[in-house]
Amino acid sequence: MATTILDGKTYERMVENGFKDLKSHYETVNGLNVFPIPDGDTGTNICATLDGGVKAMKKANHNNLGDVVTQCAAGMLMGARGNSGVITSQFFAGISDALKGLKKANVAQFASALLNGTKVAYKAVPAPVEGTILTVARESTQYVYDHLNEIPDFETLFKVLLEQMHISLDKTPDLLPVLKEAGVIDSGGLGLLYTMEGMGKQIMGEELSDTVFNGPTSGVSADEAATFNENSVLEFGYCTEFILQLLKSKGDPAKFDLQAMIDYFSTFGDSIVAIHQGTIVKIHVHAKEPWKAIQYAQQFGEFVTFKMENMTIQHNEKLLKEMPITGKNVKTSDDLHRQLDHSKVQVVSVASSPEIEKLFKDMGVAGVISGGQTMNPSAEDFLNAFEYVNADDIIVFPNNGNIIMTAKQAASMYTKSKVHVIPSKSIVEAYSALSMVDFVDQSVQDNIDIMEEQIHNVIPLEVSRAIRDSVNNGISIKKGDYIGIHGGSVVSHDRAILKAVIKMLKAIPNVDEKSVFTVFYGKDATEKMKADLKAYFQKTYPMMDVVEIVGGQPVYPFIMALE
Amino acid sequence: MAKLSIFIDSTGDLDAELRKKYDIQYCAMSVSFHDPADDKDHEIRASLDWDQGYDPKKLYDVMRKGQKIYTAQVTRQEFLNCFVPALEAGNDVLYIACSSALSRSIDLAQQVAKELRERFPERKIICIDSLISGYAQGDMAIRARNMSEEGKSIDEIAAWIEENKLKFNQWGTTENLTYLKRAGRVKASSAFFGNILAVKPILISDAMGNNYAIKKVKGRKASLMEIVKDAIASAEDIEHQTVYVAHADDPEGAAFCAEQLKTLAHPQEVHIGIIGPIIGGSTGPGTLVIYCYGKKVDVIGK
Repeated sequence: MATTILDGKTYERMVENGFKDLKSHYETVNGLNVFPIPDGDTGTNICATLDGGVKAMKKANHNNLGDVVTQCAAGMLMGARGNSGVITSQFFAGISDALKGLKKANVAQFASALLNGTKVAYKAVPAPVEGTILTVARESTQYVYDHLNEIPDFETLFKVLLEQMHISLDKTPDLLPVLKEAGVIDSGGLGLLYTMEGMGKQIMGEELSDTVFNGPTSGVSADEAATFNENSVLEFGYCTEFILQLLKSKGDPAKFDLQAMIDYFSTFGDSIVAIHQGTIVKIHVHAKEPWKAIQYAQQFGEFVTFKMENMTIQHNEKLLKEMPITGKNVKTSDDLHRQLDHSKVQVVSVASSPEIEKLFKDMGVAGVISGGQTMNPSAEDFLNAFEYVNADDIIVFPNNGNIIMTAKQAASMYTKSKVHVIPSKSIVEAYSALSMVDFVDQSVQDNIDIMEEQIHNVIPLEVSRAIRDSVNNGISIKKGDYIGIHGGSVVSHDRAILKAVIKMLKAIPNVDEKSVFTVFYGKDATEKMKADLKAYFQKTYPMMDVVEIVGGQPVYPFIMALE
Repeated sequence: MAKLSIFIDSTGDLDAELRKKYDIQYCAMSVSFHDPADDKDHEIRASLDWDQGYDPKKLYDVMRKGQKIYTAQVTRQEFLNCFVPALEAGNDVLYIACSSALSRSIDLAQQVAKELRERFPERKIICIDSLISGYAQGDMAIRARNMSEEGKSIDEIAAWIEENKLKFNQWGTTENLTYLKRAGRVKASSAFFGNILAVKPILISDAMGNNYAIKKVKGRKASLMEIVKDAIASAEDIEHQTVYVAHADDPEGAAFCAEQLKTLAHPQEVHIGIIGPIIGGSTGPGTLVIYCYGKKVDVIGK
């Protein structure tokens, strides 16, 4: 039976179905890395965004489509993570703007709303890039709008829309060379396609079964097992997580010291998330020797659930299970409801490791949001941080190109403070900027000027490791090569990390005129790598200050800056 | 006219050669510290000749090992030991003291001078608060000697110094903020100062005689270039004056600054010297300071 009218209840089910569809494919979307490093989290980010919308719709008045779309869009704004997530949230915000005030919508109204979704999504991006989710949204929604006379009902609308999305998506490598080189299509576009596909299936009567948002449930596939064999070394350790029931028979649960557990786990693990509520403790830790965590925990209770994965196989597995994806990105339950005393100005910064969190805190950053490489914070995480730091002016460092939009979105949503987003793409930029501020003697605007000038003077350089053979910028890179990244592009590669750095430096003009070399050592940087790097700089550039920081960041053994 | 005995103190930094050349004496302060090398507490005269068992490297190594150097002002006895023989020999006494913002030696000197004027009513004793330290303080003494040689009286010389003392400029920087923080010389109110190794403060002596971090620069090399350029910009008639470069155990840095000064401007002379144990004891190894004479300092640090 043809559907010609869309009501609130149907829209809610459609978005839920879209979410389910993407959930069952999010790893495929994540897997479309165009960059030869394991930071593909597009699927995860759009999932998190949709989850925010789905949860928010539950509060809506289902007899009123306008209310449902409004709640949905608001929830997505809060849940949005990553660039594709923010764009998706804006797409739905555009739909919401067009449909609000309507109790029900017809096909033409909905088609017009989709087109408005595209317009709003484009506006969210300062410099839109074609060959991305934006192109897929624009071409498909425009086509539907232009062919309304051939579209009598919602079933046809989604059939046409999805056909066009497929066509558009297949063309993305022609528009964006980086996709073509890597031999992939755009991941954000595919994420949107699965979302719309699920929405269409709902209209067509196919309600998808829900997937647990826990990654593969069928164990390790043959392909994956092949990546860990008798010749492998344990590179990433085990993602270990459990829920511990504290037991009276093992001591007074009320006296359980979460911080002591975190401190101990920090001696052998990282990416720690620890939550203590009542007599339950929830732990997530990455460790090469997970038995230490198990042994320690069992002193206080027994496990309710337990899960452990070899991350060398599952390096792309995101930290979704241990944190509800719209949940608060905080370290302990104590932090949840606290707020600082009101002050004139505070700084909020994203940090990608516990070491960097501590560094920023030592430098006076009041609101540290954990996240970055493996997990992009949501707009809500930023809003929580703004609320927590409680200041007239809030200065924000996103420290990752993929988080700037989320930070700006959160800033535009927050009305209690003046929020200034400094568009920092790397932790070294924030570090450099923060090192020169003076909130005692100078105005907020003067400090912002100083920070922007600092960031302008910083040349950020990163070294990571290729996770597979690929071609990037016309350069053929082998799996395991160290790659030097500058300005978002791979500029050097070598089997030896120091040589990758030296080749990268050749691409930078006037290195010998720089005064300071700062390096954040990642968790994969060995003592020898550190010593070699330091020795090279001291020998080659004797007048340069070499500042070494234990960053503990994932993915990048070296995050460096010349200034 | 009576002969003139000119005194500075341990912050005046003039080395033996210059003191001899210009007939300048100094009243010694003292430093005390715990030396991890022999695990003993020491209290030594803050000698400008480094002849108390500690050469600059050995003393700064004590600081590098994390120990704080405690400084003590000139004692009453030391002033008497310095001034009385000069007065007994029939000389007038001019004492150019370390900035009163850094040391209270000037107050005690005034008291001692008052007593001595009663004992030696024929003699003149003048104590001047230089509002600065280091080679700037030393340079005042040298200029005083030159004026004395030209036949100026102690009163004329003292009036000239009072009139012009804020024209002695100090442009300094330190290797890092650790030592200044340990000595309580950096405002602790700014939490953002913590843990930032590459940030170098540019330290001037302000119009009240305080060491004041007027700005910050990133990196050692940049900070040295900054003080060189600032010194040149503030110097008057640099072609006819001696510019002083003083360092705390960093001869390479001092040589770099001297070279840059000569390249960018043409001072009549660049004199490289060592920062004495009192100033160095607060600012730490790696401190580099350029002193020149020129624009009047009107900045007052907050």
